[in-house]
Amino acid sequence: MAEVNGCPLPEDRLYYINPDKNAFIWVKEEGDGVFTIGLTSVASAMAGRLVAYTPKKVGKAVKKDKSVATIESGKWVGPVPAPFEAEIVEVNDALKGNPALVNDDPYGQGWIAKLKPADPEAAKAELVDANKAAELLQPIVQEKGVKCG
Amino acid sequence: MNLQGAVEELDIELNPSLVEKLYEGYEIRRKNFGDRIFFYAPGFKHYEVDDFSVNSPPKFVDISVTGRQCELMCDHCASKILWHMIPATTPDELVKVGRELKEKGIEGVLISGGSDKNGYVPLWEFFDAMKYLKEELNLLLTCHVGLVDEEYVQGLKEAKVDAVLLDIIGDNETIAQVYKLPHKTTEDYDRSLKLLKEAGLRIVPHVIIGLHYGKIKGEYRAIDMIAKYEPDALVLVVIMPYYGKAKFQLLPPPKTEETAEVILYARKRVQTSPVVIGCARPAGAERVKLDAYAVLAGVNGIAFPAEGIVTYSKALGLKPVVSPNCCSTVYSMVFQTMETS
Repeated sequence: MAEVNGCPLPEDRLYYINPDKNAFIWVKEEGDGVFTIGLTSVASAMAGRLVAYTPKKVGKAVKKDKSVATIESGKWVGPVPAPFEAEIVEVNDALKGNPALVNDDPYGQGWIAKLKPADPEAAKAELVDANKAAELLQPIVQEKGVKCG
Repeated sequence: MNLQGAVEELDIELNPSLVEKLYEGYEIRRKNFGDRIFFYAPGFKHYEVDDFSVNSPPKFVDISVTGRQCELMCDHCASKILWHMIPATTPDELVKVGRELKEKGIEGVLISGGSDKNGYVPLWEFFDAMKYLKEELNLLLTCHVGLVDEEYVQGLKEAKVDAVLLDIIGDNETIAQVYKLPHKTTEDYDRSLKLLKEAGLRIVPHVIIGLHYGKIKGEYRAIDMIAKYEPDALVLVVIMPYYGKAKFQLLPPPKTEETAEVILYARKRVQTSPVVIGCARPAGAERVKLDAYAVLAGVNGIAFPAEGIVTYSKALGLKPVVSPNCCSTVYSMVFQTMETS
C-alpha cells in the first residue's frame, strides 16, 4: 500500500489532491455512477479528532471544490470540497453521532458522502492514483509536520 | 427584516413562538446599537465555512501562564481550554513570547491560565511583564481572571490591562460541584465584579450556559449579578460536553431553545453594553440554529459564526463587520463604529 509519513493511501481507489482548496480526498467508484468520498488519513491527521460533521442535504447539487460537508475539530473547522461537480446522493448518518470515525477508520466507516456526477468519466479525469497522491502529499506532510500512527 | 427569506437560506426550522419572543431583543439591539453585527475569528483555529473565513494571519492570540496546568480541573473543562494557548510560565518567558508575537504582527493577547485551588488565575508575578506588553510593545492586553481581591485588582490596574474577563457563576452548588470550590459562593463572584468595577477596570464577564452538567441553573442569577455592575460587554458561551471530563462527555448541552431564552434575558438585562456569543459552544447542526436565534435575540456579535449565519444576517438587513480579534474586544468596536456611522 502506498503511504506518506506513515499515513496509508489504499490502492483500490483514486484521490483528489488540491492544497489550494485544502482538498485531500479519496474517491471510490461504487458502480451505477456513484462515487464514495472521504478524507485521506493525511487530512484526518491534519484536522485532529473530529467533534462535528454537518453534511449538506441529500439531493443538493455541488460544484467542484464546493463544500459537501463541514467538519470540525478543536483546531480546525472547514469544508470537505467536492472533487467534481455532482449531486449528493447519500450522507453518512453514523458520523453525526460519532464524527471521530473519520479519524478511526478514514477509508471505511468514516466515509463522508456518496456523490453522483453527471459525467462519471469526466469526473475521474482529474483524479490520481495512490502513488501519485503520495507524491503530491509529500511536501504537504513535511511542511505541516503531519504523521500517522 | 426579511425573516422568512433569511431562514430559508439557512435550511433550518425555527420555533415561531420563540422567534416572536426573541424579536424584543432584536429591537433593543437595533435601538441602542444600529444595524451592525460583528463576527469574530480569533487566531487559535482555522475557521472556514461557505460564507465566512478569515484568511489573514492571526492578530490576536491566547497565552497561558500555567501552560496546560490547572489545580481545579473543573468537570466541564479539565484544563483543555488551555491546550491551544501559547505557554509562558515565567515573567521572563512572557516578555520573550510577547516580543516574538509583536514581531510576527500580533496586535493583541489574552493572558490566561489555569486556576489555583481558591479560584484565582495566578497572575501576581506576571503583572510587571504584562505592563511591559502593554506599554513597551503596545499590545492590546486582555486577561482572564477567576476570583480577585484588592491586591490582585491593584496589580491589574498597574499592569494597565485593557479589559478583564471572568466567568461568573450564579449558583452555589455549581461552584462547589463543577468548579470544585466548596469554600466559595456567588458572593465571592459578586465581590470580584464589584472590586474590578470600583477600580475602574473594563470588565467583560462570561456566563457559561449549561455549566451545571448541561442544565440551566445559575445562569439567570449570574446575568442579574453582572447587569448590576454595568459591564463593558457580556460574553455568553455554551457548555461543550466533549471538552470536559468523562462524566461530562455523555451529557447533552441545554436545548437550543433554552439557551436562546437565556440570551434574550441577557439582552434585556444588559441593554446598553454589547452582548456577544463567544467561541465556545457546541458544534454541528445545532450551532446553526443557536446562532440564528442569537441574532434574533439581539446579540452584537458572534465568534466563529456557523455556516450561513453571515448571509442570514445580511438577509435580515444587518451589516456584518468581520474581525480577527477576540470577541471580548467588542466594547471598543461597537462604539467606534457608532461614532463613525
